[in-house]
Amino acid sequence: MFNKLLNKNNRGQTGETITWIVATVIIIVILLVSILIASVYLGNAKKFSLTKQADSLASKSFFSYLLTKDSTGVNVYEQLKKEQLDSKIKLGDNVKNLGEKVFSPYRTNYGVFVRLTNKVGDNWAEIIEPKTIIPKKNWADFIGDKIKLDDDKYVSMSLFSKY
Amino acid sequence: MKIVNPFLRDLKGDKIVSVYWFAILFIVAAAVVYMVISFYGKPYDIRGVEADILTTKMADCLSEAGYLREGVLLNDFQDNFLEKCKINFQTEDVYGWREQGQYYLEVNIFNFVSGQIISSFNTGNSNLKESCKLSGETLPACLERTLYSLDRNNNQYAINILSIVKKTEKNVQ
Repeated sequence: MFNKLLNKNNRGQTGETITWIVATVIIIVILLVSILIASVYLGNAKKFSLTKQADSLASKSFFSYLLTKDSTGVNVYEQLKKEQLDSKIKLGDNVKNLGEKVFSPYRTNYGVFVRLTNKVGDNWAEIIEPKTIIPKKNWADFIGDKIKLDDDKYVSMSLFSKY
Repeated sequence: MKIVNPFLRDLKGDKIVSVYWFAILFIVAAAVVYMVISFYGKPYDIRGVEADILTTKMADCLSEAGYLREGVLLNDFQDNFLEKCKINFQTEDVYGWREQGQYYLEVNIFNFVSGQIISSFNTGNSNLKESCKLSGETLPACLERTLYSLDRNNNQYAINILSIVKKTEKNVQ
């Protein structure tokens, strides 16, 4: 009778041991995976970056662009002032080409566009095309400058992250 | 014949299970500590931000209200531009930083229309410039940016600013 009892107990213990071994293996595998993730993905040098509210160099270039005079001595700002927001912009090619050249260095990091716009921003005319699709994000994701030309007429330069 | 009580054997098993639980507890704790150290033990790499600040500070000095600052093209400015722009390259006196020089700043001014170089000046550890051509995390951080400016006579310039920050010992491990 004792032998029967012992046999039953041994089988129970074997089953229990296997359960423990399997549980241990699972625990160790989970730990190893966690360690691997922590050291490979999270363990890399942590890059610190500031959320930019403005790009100083792009703003400076924008101001200089507006101050640039053409061959007749009229600067871009004055030329834009004469433009009508509702009609097609009649700016000379030299002004557009100058703008393209001025803002081309920023196109490596950003999408860039310059617009003649009203205060609210629902009516605009493109001066420099963005050349990439403008993401449908919050306007807070765009950085740039807006300069008043008239009561309800502004010229704005906007930069947005391409990625 | 010695009679073995099967219930006494179970008590022995309980002891082994307790030791096992302690072992698992230590393994889990050690793994958590390792993961925390591997994440928080790495420093933040702020050299990119530092190079960006250096570039912005230099740009602020060179271009004011849309116009090129007066005297930028003169030797007097270029010889002491750090002082004139209120920039200093002082660093902590660790890892031999002060002797080696941890910064490099170079300004190239081009004619915007023709692309010809008009002026070039630099300061700092020029050996760092070589590393900008290479790629790797433990190399100095390089930032090269361009801005457009003009003088009061409507002469147009493209200003190229190269900023390099080393400080690898504290930012990359």
